Amino acid sequence: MRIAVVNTQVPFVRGGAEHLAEWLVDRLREHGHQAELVSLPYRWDPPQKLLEHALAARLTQVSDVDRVIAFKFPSYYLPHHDKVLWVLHQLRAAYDMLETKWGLPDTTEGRYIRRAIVEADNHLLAEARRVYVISHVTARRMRTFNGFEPTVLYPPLGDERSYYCEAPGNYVFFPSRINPVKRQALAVEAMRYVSSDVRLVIAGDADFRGPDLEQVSKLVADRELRGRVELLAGWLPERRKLELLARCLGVLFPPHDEDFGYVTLEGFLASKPVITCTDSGGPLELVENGVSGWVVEPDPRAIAEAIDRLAADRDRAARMGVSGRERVRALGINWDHVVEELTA
Amino acid sequence: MQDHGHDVDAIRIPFDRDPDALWTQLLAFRLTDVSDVGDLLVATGTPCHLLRHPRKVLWLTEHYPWIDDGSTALDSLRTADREACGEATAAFAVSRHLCHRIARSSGRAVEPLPPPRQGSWEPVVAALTGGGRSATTR
Repeated sequence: MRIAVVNTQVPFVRGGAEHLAEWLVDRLREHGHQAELVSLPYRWDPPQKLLEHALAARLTQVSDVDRVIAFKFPSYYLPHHDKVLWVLHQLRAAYDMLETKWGLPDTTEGRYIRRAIVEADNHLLAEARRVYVISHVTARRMRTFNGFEPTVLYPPLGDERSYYCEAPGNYVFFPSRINPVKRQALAVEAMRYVSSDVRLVIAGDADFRGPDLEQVSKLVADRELRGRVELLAGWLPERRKLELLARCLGVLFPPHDEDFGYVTLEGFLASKPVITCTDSGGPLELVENGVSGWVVEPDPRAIAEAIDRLAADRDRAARMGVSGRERVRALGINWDHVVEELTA
Repeated sequence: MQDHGHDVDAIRIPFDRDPDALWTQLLAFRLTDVSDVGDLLVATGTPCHLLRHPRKVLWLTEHYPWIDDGSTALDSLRTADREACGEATAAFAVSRHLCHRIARSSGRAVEPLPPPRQGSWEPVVAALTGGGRSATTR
């Protein structure tokens, strides 16, 4: 099949979506398809630009392919008779984030833009052959806001075969972009209450370089936790990340309302238990409390208790990690499955 | 360009050669706003030259190659070409033939800047990043 994979692109910004699109193209080719990645440049600021880019996507044409696979707003506005969507997220500023500081402004114009986008989504989701989303979190939003029922198709990691497990060391690992939504500060606060001698290793790039990282770093200093919290800021070489994963006691991933959360998957592929929070969103679909990790309140003391539990029974922690890896297999999170679904 | 220390990102926008969809697609390129992305935009093909940027340099490797020289279809693109090329800070094309064709269509002088067959990319990078200075060192 000739397949155009269409993504939205904010030039110079690369995150999970960009990787996912590239991995998908590679895997489609491995399965014998002719696949090509194209992208629609996009900006959301000022909000008026949203409608211009949505219109541009709608005016773009790709007719010389058998299928279009589209990811993010507004890439799925591209018209095609055989279009399959794998939606990472819709325009959250018009939906679940509307009431937050990231939402569209509550002005006449802001409300107009929101209405236009919701109506376009309602209309255009229906023209796709099939609509997949990456988690039940995103499925629930689409059901609530658009009255549309998508199918959940979990995204695998590109290099799923490179994860491994070694004897656990004496630290929990928190690999993630550093920003307030991932809540590194909460993890640092938790370390004040950890009674075992387990350390916390935080690794990740900071969004917009600066304030978020400084905040976490200052918190570590203020709480006099320098000996117990290690902050590896900046891009971490892949091999080093895999090694830190392989040797950790467990993974700590307590974000707020994550769409999916690759970190959970990374922990499980390395056969490590994952500690997450009751309001973390996506990770809750993978982590079963007491089986493959711990699901606790987003409270420093509760997180500390979970960390201490891993330290107190290391055999159990290792068994939980194995359950996590088994969980990934049971949920069918692998590329063969994804390619089969998206090309069916 | 990366070898020369620049931070570069490539944008691949789909474009369909269907003549019936030509004008709406040109509009889509015009609506796509990359004006505050990066310090410099290098457009290497048509209709990417329609993207707007305060510092846009054209280095065109093609100009609607499926439309014949001198055809009426080509005439209809003159206005768009005049806009797109007129607002560029410098305009190059990879061959003399292409330079003439784009110059005829846009009314703007276009300098030849062939890609190196082998060896040094330095004159190309210097021309493209040099704020419109001509590439005389070929």
